[in-house]
Amino acid sequence: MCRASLDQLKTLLCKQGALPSLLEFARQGKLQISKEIKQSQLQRGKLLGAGAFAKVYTGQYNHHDVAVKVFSESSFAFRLEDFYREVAIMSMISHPNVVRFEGACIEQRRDEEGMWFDTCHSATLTRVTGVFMIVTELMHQGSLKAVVERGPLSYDKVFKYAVEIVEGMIFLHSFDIIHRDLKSENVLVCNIYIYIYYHHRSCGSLMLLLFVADQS
Amino acid sequence: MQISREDVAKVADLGLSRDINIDQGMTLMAGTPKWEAPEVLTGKRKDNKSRYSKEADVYSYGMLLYEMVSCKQPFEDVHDIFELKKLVCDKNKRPKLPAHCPKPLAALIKRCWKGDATKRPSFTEILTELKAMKDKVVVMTRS
Repeated sequence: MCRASLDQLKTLLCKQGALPSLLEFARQGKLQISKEIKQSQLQRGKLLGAGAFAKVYTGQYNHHDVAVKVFSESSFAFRLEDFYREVAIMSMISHPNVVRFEGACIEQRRDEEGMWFDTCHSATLTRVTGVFMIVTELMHQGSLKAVVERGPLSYDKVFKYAVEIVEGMIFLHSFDIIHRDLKSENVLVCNIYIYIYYHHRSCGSLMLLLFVADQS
Repeated sequence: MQISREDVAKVADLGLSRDINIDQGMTLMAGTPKWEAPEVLTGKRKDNKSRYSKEADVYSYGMLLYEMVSCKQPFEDVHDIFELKKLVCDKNKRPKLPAHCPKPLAALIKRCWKGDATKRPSFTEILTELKAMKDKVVVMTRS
């Protein structure tokens, strides 16, 4: 899948003439390329939500919590092109205020005889179907919409989130990526734990070590 | 050791994000109408640029700020797309900001909501303004 998606991505990007600049970003270490997750490495958990195009589940990958977005491939709205595009965009960008991409997973379906079967169960067997999944970090607090619904935000929080979202958007716009569906439902909130160690040195000064770790 | 818990907001659901060039000639609605800029709703932009633009994202961001400030969704009492278009595009109506919204923030949101896309601030300008007003406003609302 990895190779196929990269080829498709390259074709798409060449068409748009964007590849040279993207490669430049890759050289600068600002980009990473799509990562395939094997089905055996991923466990799907409970359903978090469902939209028109996809369902989102919790999951476990590499011993940590993740969110698994499963595309409803049978729906008319699903286009493989959209899936690859989302994978391409998400796998190449990385920013503290854009949800982190962990990888893409395609679960191929087989019937009991080990034959591929297609969506309409016809005898053509030309189309291999599958379940298409995008794996991202799990944002424990859910959407900003859900956070707001739990109670009014202080202006401290309003400004904090406002600045964080703007920073994510400046990053996306710097790649000429427009979001097109920005709303509180599409902003996710997660907890990070900041561990602060105080260590007294003999000279009496206070040394402060700070590192940030994901909740997972 | 001290552990402090902080929360961070991140932009998600890039399923609809596309490189701007791909967008040319799109006819389908991609976003959520109540968050969409007038030029996205009508499909017309004076300067013939693609209607899904960075400026359209800024308009939606204005709606997002409104959600956080008012704890409401925009146009809650509007139920059909024709009514919405009439209000937003023809009558240039926008949601009413609550009285407790600090004035500089209200002014910024209104600029994000400008009918003329070219008059909206960029996200870089928004960041500068937010940072400038942040400390002042928090002190102001507390005293």
